[in-house]
Amino acid sequence: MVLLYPATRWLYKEPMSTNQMHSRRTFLRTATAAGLAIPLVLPGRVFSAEGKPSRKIIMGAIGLGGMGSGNLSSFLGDNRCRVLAVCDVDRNHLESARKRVNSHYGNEDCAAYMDFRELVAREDIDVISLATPDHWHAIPAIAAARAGKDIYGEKPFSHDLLEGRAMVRTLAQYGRVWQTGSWQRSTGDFRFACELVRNGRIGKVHTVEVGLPTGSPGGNSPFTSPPANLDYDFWCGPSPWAPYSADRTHWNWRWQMDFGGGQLMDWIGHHGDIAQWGLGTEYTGPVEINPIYADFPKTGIWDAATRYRIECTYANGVKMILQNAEGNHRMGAKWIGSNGWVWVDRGGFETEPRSLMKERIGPEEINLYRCNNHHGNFLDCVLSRRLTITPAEVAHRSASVGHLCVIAIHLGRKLRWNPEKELFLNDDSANGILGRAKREPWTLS
Amino acid sequence: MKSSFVVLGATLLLAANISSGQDAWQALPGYTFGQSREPLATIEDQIRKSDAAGRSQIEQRLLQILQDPGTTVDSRRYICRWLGLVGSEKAVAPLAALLDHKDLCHAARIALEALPYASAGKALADALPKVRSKLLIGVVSSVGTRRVAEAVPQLSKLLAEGDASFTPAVLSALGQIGTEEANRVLSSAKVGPELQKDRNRARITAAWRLADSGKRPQAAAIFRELNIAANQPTEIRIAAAKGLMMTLPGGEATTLMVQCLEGEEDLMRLAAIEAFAAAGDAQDSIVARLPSMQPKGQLLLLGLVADLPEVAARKPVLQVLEQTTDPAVKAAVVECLAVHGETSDVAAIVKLAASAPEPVKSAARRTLQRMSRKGVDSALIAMVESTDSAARKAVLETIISRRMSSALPALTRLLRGSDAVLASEAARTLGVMGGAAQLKDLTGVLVATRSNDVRGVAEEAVRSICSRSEDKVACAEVIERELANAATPEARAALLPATLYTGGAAALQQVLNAMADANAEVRTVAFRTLVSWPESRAATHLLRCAETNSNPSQAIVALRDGCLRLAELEEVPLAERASILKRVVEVARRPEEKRRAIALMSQVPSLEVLDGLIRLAEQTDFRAEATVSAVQIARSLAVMYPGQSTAALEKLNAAAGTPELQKAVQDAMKAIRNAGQSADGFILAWMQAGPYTQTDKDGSALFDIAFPPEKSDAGIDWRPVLAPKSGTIDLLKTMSGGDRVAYLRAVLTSETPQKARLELGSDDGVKVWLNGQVIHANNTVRPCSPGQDKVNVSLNQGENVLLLKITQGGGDWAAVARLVGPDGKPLSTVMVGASK
Repeated sequence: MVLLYPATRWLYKEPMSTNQMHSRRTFLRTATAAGLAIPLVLPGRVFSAEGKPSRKIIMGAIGLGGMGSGNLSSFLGDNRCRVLAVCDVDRNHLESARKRVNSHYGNEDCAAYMDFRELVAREDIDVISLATPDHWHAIPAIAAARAGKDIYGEKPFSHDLLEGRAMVRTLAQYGRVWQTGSWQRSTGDFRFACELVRNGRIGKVHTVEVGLPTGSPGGNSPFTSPPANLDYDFWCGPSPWAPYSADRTHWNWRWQMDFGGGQLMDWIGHHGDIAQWGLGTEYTGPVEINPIYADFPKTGIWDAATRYRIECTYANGVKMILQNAEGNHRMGAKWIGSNGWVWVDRGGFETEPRSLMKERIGPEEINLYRCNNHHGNFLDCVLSRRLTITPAEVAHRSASVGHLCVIAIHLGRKLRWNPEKELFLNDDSANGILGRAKREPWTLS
Repeated sequence: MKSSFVVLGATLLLAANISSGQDAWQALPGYTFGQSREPLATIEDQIRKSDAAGRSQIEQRLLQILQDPGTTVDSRRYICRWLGLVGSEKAVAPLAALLDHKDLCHAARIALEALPYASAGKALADALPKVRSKLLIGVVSSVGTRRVAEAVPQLSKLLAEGDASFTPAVLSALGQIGTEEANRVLSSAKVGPELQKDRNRARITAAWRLADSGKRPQAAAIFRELNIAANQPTEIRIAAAKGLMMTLPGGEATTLMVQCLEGEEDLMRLAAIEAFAAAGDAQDSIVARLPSMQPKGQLLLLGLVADLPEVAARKPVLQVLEQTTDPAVKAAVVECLAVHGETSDVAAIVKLAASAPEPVKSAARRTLQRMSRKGVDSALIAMVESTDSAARKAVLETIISRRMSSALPALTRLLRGSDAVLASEAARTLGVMGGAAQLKDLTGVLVATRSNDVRGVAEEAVRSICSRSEDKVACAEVIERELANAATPEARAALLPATLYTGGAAALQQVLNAMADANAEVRTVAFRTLVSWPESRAATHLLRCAETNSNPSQAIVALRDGCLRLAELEEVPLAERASILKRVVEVARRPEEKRRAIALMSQVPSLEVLDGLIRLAEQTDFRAEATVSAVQIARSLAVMYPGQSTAALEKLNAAAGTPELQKAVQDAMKAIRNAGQSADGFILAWMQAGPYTQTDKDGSALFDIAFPPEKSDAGIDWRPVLAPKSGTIDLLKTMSGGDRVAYLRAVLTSETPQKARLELGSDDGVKVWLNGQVIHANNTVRPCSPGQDKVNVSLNQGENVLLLKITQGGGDWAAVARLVGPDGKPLSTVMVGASK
C-alpha cells in the first residue's frame, strides 16, 4: 500500500504504563515511507521449513465460524501469506476449514488444533487470524502477542474494559501489529463521511447519532448435552459455566452478556467506531454516560438489552447518542453540526446540504488513513511495521464506548468517566465491573 | 426460527406466578438452570432502580439467601455475581468461604475481584494455602489481577513447590503485582526450561510495573538482563530491548536507539523502531542526531519521521539534504519534506522534481503532491509562469495531481497569453482539471488561435471536459454559442466533434445543420459526428440518411457504424434497441446489414423480439440467423417466462429447415426445462416488489401489515430477480435501508396434484402464501441460512402462485426457498418460473 496522505491520521498514544500516557505526542510506528526501500524488519522465523528465506507470512487461524471463515477466505486469497494451521473447539468447523485450506493450496500441510495454545506455541507461525466469540478474544490475543505474533482480530476488541487495556498494553510491550475487523473503515463512503466531518464541512459538530440493530429476546431452547463435535467446556472458557443449549453457542452467543455483548457490542466496532473516527475521538472517550432506557429480556438465556438508548457526552460537549435503530434514529452514524449533517451506513450516504456529497478533500486538509483492502492492510503492516487502519488503541477506545454503555444500562444510572485514567469518578461499583474474573484455569496474563 | 420453549411444567407455573418483586425473592433460593430467568430479571431491575440504601437492603437479602444451606448452587452462583456489584465489606467473608467450592469459586472470585476493599484482596491471599488444582490457579489469578502485594510470600512458596500445573499462573500473578519483592522472587525463581518463557514474560510485565511506579533504573536493569541473556526467544529480546530503550535516562536511551537503528541486528532495529514510536518528546532529540548518523540509520529514521508531523524534523532533515551524496538518503529526505517541509521549501523541491536524477526526482514529485502545510498551493501557483520549462512542467503536473482548483484562474490567464508553449501547457492542464466554466476560454482559443499545436491541445481539452462534466447542458450551451460564432470552416470542423461529448437534442440539431454547410470538409465532419453520436436519438436521422442518401457508401456507414453501433449500447433501453434493429432489417439494402441486425436481436431479449424472429425464421432468406437468435432469446427468457419460451421453441422446431438448426432448437428445449429452479431444488426465478415501509414501524411491526402484494396484483411494480445457484437472494443488492418489507413471487407449475416441502431461510422474518392462503409465518430476527423453516405444502395441478414476504429490521436482508418432495429429494414434476 502506498499512502499518499499525511499524517494527522497517525494519532496514536502508546501507554507508558497501565494508565499513564503521553499527553500530546503523536506517532506512527513505521519503517517505510511511500516508495522508500527500507530493509524488511521481521522476526527471523519468516523462513520456510527448509530454512530458506520465504516471503510468505505464515498464518494460523483461530476461530472458524462465521467471521473466521470469511477472514480465512480473504487471507487465502492473498498470496503474501500462507495459512498453515487452523484451530476451533468445534470439530466440524475445524475440519471444514482444514479441508478448505488444503484444497486451496493443493496439499495436506494444514495442521488442525482444538486448543489454541498448541497453535500459538508453534514458532513457525508469524501471524494469527482471531475470530472467536467475544469472551475468547483477550486470552489468545495476549498469548499470541507474547509469543511474538501479529494479530488480525475481530471486533469488538475485547469483552470488557480491563482486558481491552491489557491487550493494548501487551501488544505495545511486545511490539506487535494489530488489525481489528472493523472493515467499514476500509470503504470509501465511511472514510469520506468522516473526512467531511473532520474538515468542518458541517460546521461545529454537536451531536452524533449512532444507530445499531435492535436485539431479540430468546434463548428458550431446552438444555441438552453438547454435541460430540464441540468441546463445550473449552468453549465456555474463561466465562462462567452454564449448561449447553443450541441457543448458547454459534452465532447466538452474541445475545448473552457472559459470551458476547448484544447487538450494542456486536456493532459498536462498526458504527460506533466510525462515529469516533469522524469525531476524532479515537484515542479518548466520553466523560459522561447517561442511560436513557434499556429493555432486557426476561426469559430465556439471552440477557442482552434489546432496545436501548444511551447518551454519551465528550469533554468538548459533543453528544453521542447510541440507540437501537428505530423511528427517526437510523442505522449507521449521523453527525449533526451547525451547518448541516452527514449520515452514512452500509449502502447509504446522505448529506445536508446535498452538495457535500460532491466535495473533494484537498491535500492541505485532514486526509484520513486511506485503505481499500482491510485484510491486505494487515499484511501490509506486518511487513512494514506501520500502524494498521484500526490499531489496538483505536479499537479499544471504540469498544470502550460500548462497554461504558453496557455498564451504564446495567447499573441504571448516569456515570462519569475519566478516559485518561480509564476509571469512573466516585463510583466503586462501576469500577468493580470494568473487568470480570476468569474462570479457572484460564488467566488473562 | 422460533425456538421451542421447553421447560418443566412446574417452572411454567412458577413463572406465571411471579408478578411482583416479592415473588422473585421467594423464587431465588430455589433457582436452577433451566428455569425461567424472570425472577432474576426482576431482581436485576430492582437493583438498577435502587439508591445506595436500597442496594444495602438488597445486599442483606442476598447474603441471607447465600448463606442459607437450602439455597441451590445455581442460585448462589447468581447471588455471588450480584454481590460484586451491591456488596459491602460485609460480603467479603461469606464470599471468601466459597473459594474452595468447586462450583462456586469462580462466582465468588468475580465478586471478590470487583469489591473495592483491601479485605477482599487479603481474603484471596489467605485462601492460597487452602485451595488446590484448578481452584488454586483461579485464586492465584485473582490475586494477580488485584495486585495483592501481601500475597508475594505465599506465591513464592508456591513457586518453590515446582508444580508445573500452577507455576505459570503464579509467575504471571507475580508479574502483575510487580513490586520490588515480586521482582526479586521472579528473578531468583528456579524453574525448569519449559517454564523459562513464562518466567521471562512475567519479568517483563513486572519490570513495566516497576517503571510505572517510578523505579525506572531497576526496570531498565531487568530489561537489560533479559535483552542480553543468551538463548532468549526473539519476542522476549525485542520486548526487553524496547523496555530498556524506554526506561533508560534520556541521553542513554537516545544513544542506544541510534546505535540500534544503525546496527546490523534485525531484532534490535525492530525494537528501536518500536521504542522510537513510543518515545514521545524524546523523539526530537533522537531526530536531531540525523545529520551525524550513518546512511543506514538515516534511512530508517527518515522513514519513521516521514509520517510524524509533530516531530521537529525539518532542520535536521534539511541539513542531511545538504550533506548527503547518497541518492537513497536524499530521496528519503525529500519524502520526509512532504510532512515537514514549509512553503519556503517548495521551490527547492520543484527544482528536484524537474531536474534531479532518479530516485530523487520521483520522490520530489510525490512530495509535491502530498505536501500538507497551508500555503503550499499558493507557492506552486506563483511558479506556473517560471521561465524554467522543466520546473514549470513539474508545477503543472503537481497542480493536476493536487487537483488545485485555486490554480484555474492562473491557468486561464496563461491560456489567453501570447506564449504558444505556455498556452498549450495551460490548455493541457485545464483539460484535466477544468469544468464547464473553463470551456468558454478553451473554445475561444480553439476558434481564434493560429497555432495548430494550440488548437490540437485545446480541442482535446474541450472534449475531455465535456466528456467528464456532469453538467452536459452547460457544456453544450457553450459549444453551441461558439459554433454559431465560428466564422471559419476550420473552427467549425474543430468544434463539431466536441458535441459528441455533450450530447443533447440541441447539439444534435447543430450537427444536422452542419451537414448542409457550404464547406465540404465541415459536411464530412458533421456526417462522421452523426455516425458516432452517443445517443439513440440519432438513430432516426441515421436511418433516414440510409434510406435517402444517394451515396451508397454513406448509407452503409450510417447503418453499420451508426445504427447497429447504437443497437449494441447497453445504456440504450432494450425496447429502443429492438426497434432500431427492426428498422435496419427493413431499410438495409444489403444482406450483410440485415444479417448483422438479426444476429444482434439475440442481445435484446423480449417476447416481442422473439415473435419477430419466429416470423423471420419462417422466411428462407434469413432462417438460419433468425432461428439462432430466437433460440438464444428463448433460453434467456426461460427462467422468467417458461411457458412462452417453450411454445416459441416448439414453433422454431417445426420451422427449422436443417438438422443443425433442429438440433440447436431441441438442445435449447432440453436446457430450459425448469430453468427457474436449481438442480437441488432452490427457487432461482422470482418477481420482486417493494420495499414497503410505514412510519414509526420497525421490521417486526410490519410483519402483519398488509401491503398491496398481499391484496391484489394490480398496480404493483413487479421486477424480475434471479438468485445465484445457492438460491439466496441478497435483497440489499436492490433495496437499502432498514425497517421495511419486500415480496418475492414465483409460479410453481405442477404436472399433478402433489405433496411437497418448502424449505425456507430468511433475514429477518418470513410470511408465506400459496395460492393466496397463508401457509407459514415466522416473525423473527435472524441471519439467513437455507432450511431454517420447513413447511409441508399441497400443490394443485397446474400453476401455483407462491408469495413470500421478507421483513427487514437492519443489517443483512436476504431470503432463500427450496422446493423438494416430502422426502427431501428434488421434484422432477414441477416447473418453476417467475411468472405464468
